[in-house]
Amino acid sequence: MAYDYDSAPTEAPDTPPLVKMNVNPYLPQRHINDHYDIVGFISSGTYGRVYKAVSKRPANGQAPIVKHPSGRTVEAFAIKKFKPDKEGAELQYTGISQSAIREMALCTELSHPALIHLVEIILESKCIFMVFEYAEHDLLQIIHHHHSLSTRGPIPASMLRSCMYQLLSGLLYLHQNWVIHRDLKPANIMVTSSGAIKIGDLGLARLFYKPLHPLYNGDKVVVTIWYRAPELLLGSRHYTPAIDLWAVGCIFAELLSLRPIFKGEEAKQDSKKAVPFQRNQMGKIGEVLGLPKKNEWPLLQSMPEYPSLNSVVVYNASVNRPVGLEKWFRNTVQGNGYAMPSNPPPADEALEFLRKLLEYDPLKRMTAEQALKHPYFVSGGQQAGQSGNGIGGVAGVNVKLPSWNCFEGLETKYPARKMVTKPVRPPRRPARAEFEGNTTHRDRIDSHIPHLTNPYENICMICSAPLTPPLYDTAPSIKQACNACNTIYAMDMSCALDLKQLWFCPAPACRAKNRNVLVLDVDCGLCAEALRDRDGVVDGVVLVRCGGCGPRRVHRSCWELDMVARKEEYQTEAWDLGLPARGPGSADVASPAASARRLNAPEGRVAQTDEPEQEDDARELDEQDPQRSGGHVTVKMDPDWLCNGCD
Amino acid sequence: MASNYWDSTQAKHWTFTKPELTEIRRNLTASNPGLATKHPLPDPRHINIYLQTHLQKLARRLNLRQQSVATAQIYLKRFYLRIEIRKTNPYLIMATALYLACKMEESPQHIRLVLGEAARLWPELHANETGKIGECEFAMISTLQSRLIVHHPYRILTEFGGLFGLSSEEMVLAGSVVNDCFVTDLPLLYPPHVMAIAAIFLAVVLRPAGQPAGLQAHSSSGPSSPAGVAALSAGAAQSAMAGIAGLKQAGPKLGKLVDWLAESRVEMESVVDAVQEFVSLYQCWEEYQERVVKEAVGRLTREGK
Repeated sequence: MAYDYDSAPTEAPDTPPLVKMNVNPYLPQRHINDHYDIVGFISSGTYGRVYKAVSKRPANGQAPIVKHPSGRTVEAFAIKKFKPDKEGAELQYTGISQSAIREMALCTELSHPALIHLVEIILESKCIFMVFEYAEHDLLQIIHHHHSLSTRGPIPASMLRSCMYQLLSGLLYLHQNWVIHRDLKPANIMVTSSGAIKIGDLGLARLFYKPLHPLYNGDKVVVTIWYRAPELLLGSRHYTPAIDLWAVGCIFAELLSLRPIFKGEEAKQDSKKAVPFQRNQMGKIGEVLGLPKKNEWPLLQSMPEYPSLNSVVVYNASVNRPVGLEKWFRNTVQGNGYAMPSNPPPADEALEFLRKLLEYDPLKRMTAEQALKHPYFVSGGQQAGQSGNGIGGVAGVNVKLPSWNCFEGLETKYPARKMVTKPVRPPRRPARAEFEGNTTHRDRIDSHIPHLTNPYENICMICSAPLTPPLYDTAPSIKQACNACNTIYAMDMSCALDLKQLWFCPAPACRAKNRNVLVLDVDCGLCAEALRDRDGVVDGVVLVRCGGCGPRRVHRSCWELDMVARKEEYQTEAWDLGLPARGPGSADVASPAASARRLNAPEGRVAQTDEPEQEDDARELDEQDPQRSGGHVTVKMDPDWLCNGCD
Repeated sequence: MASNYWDSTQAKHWTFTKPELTEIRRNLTASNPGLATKHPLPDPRHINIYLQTHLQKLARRLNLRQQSVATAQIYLKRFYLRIEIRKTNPYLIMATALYLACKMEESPQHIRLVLGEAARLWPELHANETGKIGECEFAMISTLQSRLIVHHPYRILTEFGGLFGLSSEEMVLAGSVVNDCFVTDLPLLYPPHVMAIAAIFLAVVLRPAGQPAGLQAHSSSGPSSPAGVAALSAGAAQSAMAGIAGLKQAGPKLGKLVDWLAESRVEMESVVDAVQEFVSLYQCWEEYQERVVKEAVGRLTREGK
């Protein structure tokens, strides 16, 4: 039976008087664990965490069927758990963040086939759970898949066209409803297994009808740097939905070339809270398009950061000799492996389409409505049509609009979303001996790249400090290898983090021609795989500290896995969502401090960890009661939990 | 949604007919047997006047824009349609509604600031930690089923004001009438444009240009001086409503309004009903004594201790 919001009782007679809150605590009407079974952990970010779930099967009978308004059954769910504002200690009601309020209200209000479908919101145990329909893929994952070495090849033109068409349809709906998304990027655009595009993550989206204050006042920085429109980079106080169209242009370019078109470095906000000018990002745009000119963008001079524009050329001279969008497009299409009979390149209209999205002047930039009527969709795609995949049409014949299934006619199967599933038994933790002497580790590097030379064996190439051997020591080092000259060189972890934008190889013979550096080293303390992501930046890493042998880095996902295993060992309930166990009667009132700490404690990026925090952790280890307290099980954070190595 | 009221959650889930409202309220009382007799409360409209004017007071202390206040007032109305008022501390609900509405209208206020001002204004709040408002916020969002986007008559009022060429005085008056609609059930019954038209109608009919004010809306004169409506009698309004022919003579502006209404697809009965609702509200307001309501509400909060 489908859950219907409106048939939910307005107030059951036996509901405790929940609102006289000076006396009684807030009690949720629905409990997340009563209705959903978590099957895996998908990801975590600044906003919180996302889990995959299915409907819970009651002990006696069928799992309830949840219907989408269109009539289809929702098979699986993605549950987004918002991170509480304040980490650590016991959770408090601190007031819900603006971003969560926006997302809750907008997702409840909006409904469109190209928008992620919200099933329900559950407020429980001082946490917010938003239950969405699950989508198997997202554009970032699809880009990765095509980018990866084994499957390297372009995204088929028909799929590209369908993706863009659906994305723009959803965006038009948002804009017609006075909503600017403000965070469009490949990772936020979901793709279901049936090829439907779903715009997700409305955490930065807001209504812009007659705002009470300039949009800038509410949020100083919007849109992920690579997708940020030029008017935002130039500090515009009032901006329009056109910023979303710029992001769409960037996404389109990224789908074409499989890498971000304007991959700048974000200038960090300084302590004075002044928003810095994003010179590097502006330069990256300039490298392709040239810098904006006031005859092409009449209001350019009134932009607050207009004076800073001159400084871009000082740091990045290539903006004076821009590649030009046309050349960029031709190079990309040529270099990307489109082959005429089986995998035709995108039609030429695609270039014009891209040009109109990446238009500097927001007033001239194509709107979502115009984009949907662009020849690329209504008469384009001839070349795509010739492949006989049913999308587009052969020139002269009636042209079909793009399909609402972006996989239509394609053979490719994309891998399912990666997630950490509940293990049957705890993973084996390797003994310290296996890591001793660093042999397995060195062997692995050798098997990856043969004949390595390492001129920087024992000193950091940046700061010249002596390097202690990597892995499990207090000052872990990073090793990187140049793809071209096979030089492997080493640097201090902290130096490496500072230096991630230094993309050339430091080997003297190689310096001129290479920009491609691969982070090879620094392995996860649990799975012993290298800690790296697609950009070679160390991220998604959790620092786990061991009292005996110093801090250790592990993959976030491995850490989650280990947490799960640990929790199983200690037989805690609700392994996944971090809810206190609900006993009969006592309900949610007393969530043990320890369980809150357990969920929040060892998270955060490596670079942020500093001495005092570690001391805190150590103290916590001693103080925490490892045993049951008040009917709840707390996870014992003993040294063993943290370290595979020392006894 | 912001552009399309008819697709909004407000139209679909938070607009009712009069019999539906009566039924919901009857069920609410029935599901809490004994409470009503244990805590007798004055005329529900007087309670509304009390709550809404006090919400306005808090908003004024926080320097809030009317749009945020209006949203908070709607949250309050919807909330008490689902939860029996006698089970709540109305002061805490008011503070929470305002805190939430500010976030929703993109002009957030710090929770500590809202709590501080509310506690100073209402000693009966009995809350000295922000967690109380935070917890109440959960209850409120849950009760409102996270349908938090609200459509107000103000936007349409501005559009129509231009359309009918209202003077700025008339616009101010119409705006004040709209502010008063939150005391009535109108926002739960009709789409925002009905209230906007009713307000324009009242502003034009009852205050023809060049004449002294016949009507003073309450929110403009403040809750402490309910004498403003004295000049207005229900009879006058009803006779003005009596016939379209009669209305046309009332002036060119009204003529234009009436012509427009006849051509448009606005439900005239709703507008007439809204006008009457306003008129009877102002009559009711004359009998309003703040002290009586304050004491009754105060008893509720004491009971909660």
